[in-house]
Amino acid sequence: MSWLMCGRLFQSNIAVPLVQTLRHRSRRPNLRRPAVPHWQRAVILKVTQPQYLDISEDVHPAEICKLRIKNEAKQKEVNPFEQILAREFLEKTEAAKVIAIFHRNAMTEAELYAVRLQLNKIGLHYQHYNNNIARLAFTGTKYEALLQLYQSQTATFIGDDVKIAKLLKMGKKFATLTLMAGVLEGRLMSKSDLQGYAALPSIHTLQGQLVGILNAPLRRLSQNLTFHQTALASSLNQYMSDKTKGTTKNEDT
Amino acid sequence: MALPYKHSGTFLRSAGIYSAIAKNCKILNLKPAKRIEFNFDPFGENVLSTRNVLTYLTQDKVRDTNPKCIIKTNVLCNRANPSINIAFDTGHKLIFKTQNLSTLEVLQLFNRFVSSTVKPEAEVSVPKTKAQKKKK
Repeated sequence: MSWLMCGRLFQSNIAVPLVQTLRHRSRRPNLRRPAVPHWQRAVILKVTQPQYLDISEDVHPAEICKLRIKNEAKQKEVNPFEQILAREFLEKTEAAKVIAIFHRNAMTEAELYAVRLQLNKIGLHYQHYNNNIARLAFTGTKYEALLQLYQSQTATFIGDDVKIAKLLKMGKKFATLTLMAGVLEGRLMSKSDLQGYAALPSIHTLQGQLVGILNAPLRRLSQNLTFHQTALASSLNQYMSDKTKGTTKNEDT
Repeated sequence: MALPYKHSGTFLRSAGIYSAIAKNCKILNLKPAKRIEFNFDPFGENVLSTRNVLTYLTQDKVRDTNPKCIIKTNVLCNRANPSINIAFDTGHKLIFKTQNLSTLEVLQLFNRFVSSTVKPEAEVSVPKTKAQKKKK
């Protein structure tokens, strides 16, 4: 494999060979008294002279840095396939109820498959998209806050009917994945938020509690209004029961 | 007609920072470490180096240098600064505050303080049998 190809593997602007041209067995040019060139040669030399930009004092060298301009142009380049993937990712994310974003440790395909199997059992499906696709998909949308997570190695899983408590329990055992954050019904949740959500009782219990809280002032009001009547009624009942007990005792004796 | 010029030069072998990181990853050794804890807030700033080092240290080759070493990841939710805490077998502790360290710097420091303390194994000479000597 050539060195130039090796350079392309590393995905950076390197491995351009440093090449020097040397004069070999030709007439040595006289630099003190240079020879007057032929008219045609002179015209070509003049035309091929490099045109340098006028560096004005107002412009900072960083603004006219060619590498920077080249990189910016490269970033703006639109890859249609990447756009399609980004659109697909965004559509799946918007349609899903639960999104779990993990940090991915170094692992083999076999280990990834094993983890995917386990998460599949709780309804989470692996999304094979890289950080660039995620950036294209989420920039300018409501999921822009997630982009902070899409650095380094990341794995995204989405699902609809997912039990968060089970996910957290499973997540503790994984050696290759670390749960960082999730999105639950359009709401971004950190790990502690997910733990709090998992600790909540069922919705029916919460609804019952809410009904109780709403009823509480009315209940208190009715109790206060009927307090004296109920107290009188209970006292009279007590008096009657005591009286009847007293008469039965007398009859017995 | 032969051109009056002869080309000479060299080719760059190094891929810059990636070569440096690869070089440091090759010499990673977890033998002196008993427990390594990675603490980071995923929504915090400057967490990239911590996450990258976590990926490098969990490689199979690196884990095989010391299968007993426990690597734990704590995901924080309080925007605290990221850190890597290393507990040695000797009882010493080493804390990397990685907020302002790059990936390469963390790996270099790790190799300096952890991997370099590993003593190379002495070569054990196996005595040759008569049959082996005869074959020669």
